[in-house]
Amino acid sequence: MATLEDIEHLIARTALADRSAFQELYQLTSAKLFGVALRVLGTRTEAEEAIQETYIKIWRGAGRYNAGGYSPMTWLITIARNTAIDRLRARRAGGAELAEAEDIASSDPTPEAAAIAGSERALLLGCLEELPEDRAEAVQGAYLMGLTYQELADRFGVPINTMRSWLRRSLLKLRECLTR
Amino acid sequence: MSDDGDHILPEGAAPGDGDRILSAEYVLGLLSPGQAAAFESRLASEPALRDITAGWADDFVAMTDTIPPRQAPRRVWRAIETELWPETHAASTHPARSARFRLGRWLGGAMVAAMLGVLVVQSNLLAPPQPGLLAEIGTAQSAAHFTAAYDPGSGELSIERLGPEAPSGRSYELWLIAGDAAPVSVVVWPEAAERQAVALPTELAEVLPGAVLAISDEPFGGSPTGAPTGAVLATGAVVQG
Repeated sequence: MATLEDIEHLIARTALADRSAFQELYQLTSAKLFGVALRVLGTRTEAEEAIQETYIKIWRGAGRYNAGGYSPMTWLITIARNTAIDRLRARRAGGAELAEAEDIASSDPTPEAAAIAGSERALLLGCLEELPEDRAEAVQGAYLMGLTYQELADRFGVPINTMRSWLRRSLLKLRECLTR
Repeated sequence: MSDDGDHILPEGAAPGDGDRILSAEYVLGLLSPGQAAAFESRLASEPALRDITAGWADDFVAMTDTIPPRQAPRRVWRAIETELWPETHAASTHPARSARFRLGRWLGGAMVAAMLGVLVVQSNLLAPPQPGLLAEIGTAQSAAHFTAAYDPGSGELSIERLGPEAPSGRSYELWLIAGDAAPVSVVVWPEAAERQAVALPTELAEVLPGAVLAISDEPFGGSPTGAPTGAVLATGAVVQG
């Protein structure tokens, strides 16, 4: 069963252009990252393209992994999330309708990837629950749907500056809860 | 459209809250492109800000914990292989090492670094006398720690060991990795040496910007194969000093 140390080691080997380490990294982590891309983008075709782009970035950026201070799964998932969000925003900017969510419940998760997901992270979800419901939804909308302040303001029916101060206060409350 | 980034603090905020909010907004993707670029240039020189940002990234990623993993179809991996190694993707399990450097790949790497804000922190210890290229080579997991500075005037890469010596019977070896090319050995670190200067061949100097320097653990005297054989102890990207 892969540990975070194993993942970190594979990222380091990938930085040295070790193709078999990169392939192993893909085998261990791609199901989790594909799940995230599917959730953000909603269609298999776009999620597949996003994951392809994500692993190209991982191959080319592995040498910079250490400099960011991220834990290894955070680093990988963040690249996948940002890549998917960029595509989602490009789709929105192009005026396309939200793609119909396909039935994405048909594939099986891999046990390896499930085991990698951290267990200590229930903390954030608990802290989100301490926020008023709409504030928690705004934080999640920004992270998982890539909504901008303007889009959040439209969605919640408040002026953009109100949205900003809501969200900023919520972020400080979150930080206070997370470090409690 | 107003972009009110300057008036960031809600009422009753405490010292440091501005950066706490800004780094969270960066991770969430709420900053404008201009604000994000300004934030990233601060990340490069402010380790404390980098730590706050990494903390938010670790916290927010928990929002993906409940997302079930899904097996990606095999064609995704094949497409990755074809894009990265068009000449050899049919024989992907053989790490056929191409000695060619792909110069166009630097930009891709730089974009990833910018996107993630994983910019290399410039070493205060180096304080270069002239503009050049710098790399800080280290990890949080290993004591191995080096810095490197390249002087385009002399064509020399100066490397300094800041961490402990290699364990008895082992050697550190420094590698240069440019783009998708195979690692090139730069120097096998002499036992107990604190500094080394290596005259870089022109073809290596040309690919230095954006390349990665890495230290691996090797048998005494260096890798017997010409490619890294042991654990990668430290890595760092080469950036403009």
